[in-house]
Amino acid sequence: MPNGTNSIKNIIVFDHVGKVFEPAGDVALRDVSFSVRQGELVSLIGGSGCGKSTVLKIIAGLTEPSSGSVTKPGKVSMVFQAGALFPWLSVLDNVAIALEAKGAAKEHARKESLKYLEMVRLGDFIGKFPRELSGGQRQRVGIARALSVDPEVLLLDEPFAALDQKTVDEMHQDLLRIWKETGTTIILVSHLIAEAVALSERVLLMKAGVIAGEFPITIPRPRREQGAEFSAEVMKIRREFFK
Amino acid sequence: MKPETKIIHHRHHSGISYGSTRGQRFYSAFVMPLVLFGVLFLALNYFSKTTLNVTTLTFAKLSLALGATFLRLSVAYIFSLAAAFFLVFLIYYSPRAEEILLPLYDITESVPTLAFFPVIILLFIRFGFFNGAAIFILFLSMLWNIVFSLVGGLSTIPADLKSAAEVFGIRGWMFVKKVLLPALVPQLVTGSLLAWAQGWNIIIVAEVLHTYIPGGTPAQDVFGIGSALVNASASGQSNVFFVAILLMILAIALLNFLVWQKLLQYAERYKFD
Repeated sequence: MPNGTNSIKNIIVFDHVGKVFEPAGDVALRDVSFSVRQGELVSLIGGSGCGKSTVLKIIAGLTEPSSGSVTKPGKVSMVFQAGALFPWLSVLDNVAIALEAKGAAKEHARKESLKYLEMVRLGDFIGKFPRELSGGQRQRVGIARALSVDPEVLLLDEPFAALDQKTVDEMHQDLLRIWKETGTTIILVSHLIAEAVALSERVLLMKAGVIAGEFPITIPRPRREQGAEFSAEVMKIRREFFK
Repeated sequence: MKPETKIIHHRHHSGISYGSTRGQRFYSAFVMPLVLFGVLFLALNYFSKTTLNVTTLTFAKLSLALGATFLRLSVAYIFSLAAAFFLVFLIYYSPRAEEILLPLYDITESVPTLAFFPVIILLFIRFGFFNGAAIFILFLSMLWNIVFSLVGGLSTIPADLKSAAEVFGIRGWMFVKKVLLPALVPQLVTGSLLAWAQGWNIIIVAEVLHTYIPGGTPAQDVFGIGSALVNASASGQSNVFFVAILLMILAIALLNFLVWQKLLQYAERYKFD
């Protein structure tokens, strides 16, 4: 995906956005300004309570900003940390329900869902239920569901936090492949700097409700986490993180 | 990509999937319950005309009495189920209503059922609707077990699941049908089990109405296993009494084995990790 190309439009724009959760008066966002270009893969990192999930919720439409303005597209989809699958629905129906909610007939929704499950390599699991899947498989179902509605922006809220390293590595490869195949704009929230550097074109560091730093990642793909360039990039962000 | 897979609506029973038409689903969801309800009412009406003569009680008549009690419990359960869902949805969809109503539910639950007796006498007994009085008592004792089980169930629904429903536009009736009701299945089963236990517990109070009516006579009791127990005990018919107790225990055990255990197993698939 091209970087710094002015002809590519900004699909998300946060302009001095603040968010206060009432009635407690908790300040989640103070003054957040950033933009995301169409087709970009951006990571939002930061410590607990810095406001990164709140940014995601605002983009997803789950909450409104208290101040400032947000420009975002209509079709936004989300992958949740624990998958957020419905335990009583099969894998196929967990994906299809998103299409049915958009007005698709059940039969058509199921046929379409099959395509997305094939994309995440779960075509053989359509009759299984979430309790029969591993953590990684559940996340893949979540990704398939999120993609099935053909979103303009895909949000991932720490989707790999509960997974083992081997599964995480596989999921990273799957995410990059899906990103290349679909060209969807992706915003990934993570608490791991290395993960953000491995996946993203740009990393936004959040601290105490503001964007504390912006780091374009120009390391060519595939990125080797053991490489000197990779480590240097991680260290640069880490220094800012702990400043 | 694999060859096209024929996808049909799946109903899962004992691990078997098979197709169903819209008509079949409408029949299952509406027609069958209405027919069942009608049959229950007709049967209960028949039992209202049956008198309880302890000296001539046979095993067959005691079994019929048990059947009458079971029908009464079923009707009361259906009413308490409907009322419970109404009360719970009221507080789910309105935080303001929750603030006012939840404490009210707590208070009402604590009021002994017999405190409602003046209401029961005015509404039912005065018009000779003794079955109605018995069902009303059972309804009051069953209702709150279901309500508070469901209220507890609401708090177990993960926030992420509700957020996912909102993000994907699952709203209104679709949300109730595909998310809320399935999420409450485990608590519905537990609440129903407790409600029926409470119902069996209070069956004597519900059927032996004459004890609570000023100037009451045994003619005002309703035909059932509860009234059979009391009348057998009062007239010294210990053999009738013990058979009645055994029948009741057998019925409760069978219900537990054939219904509740199976439902509790079925409800496992609706539980969150």
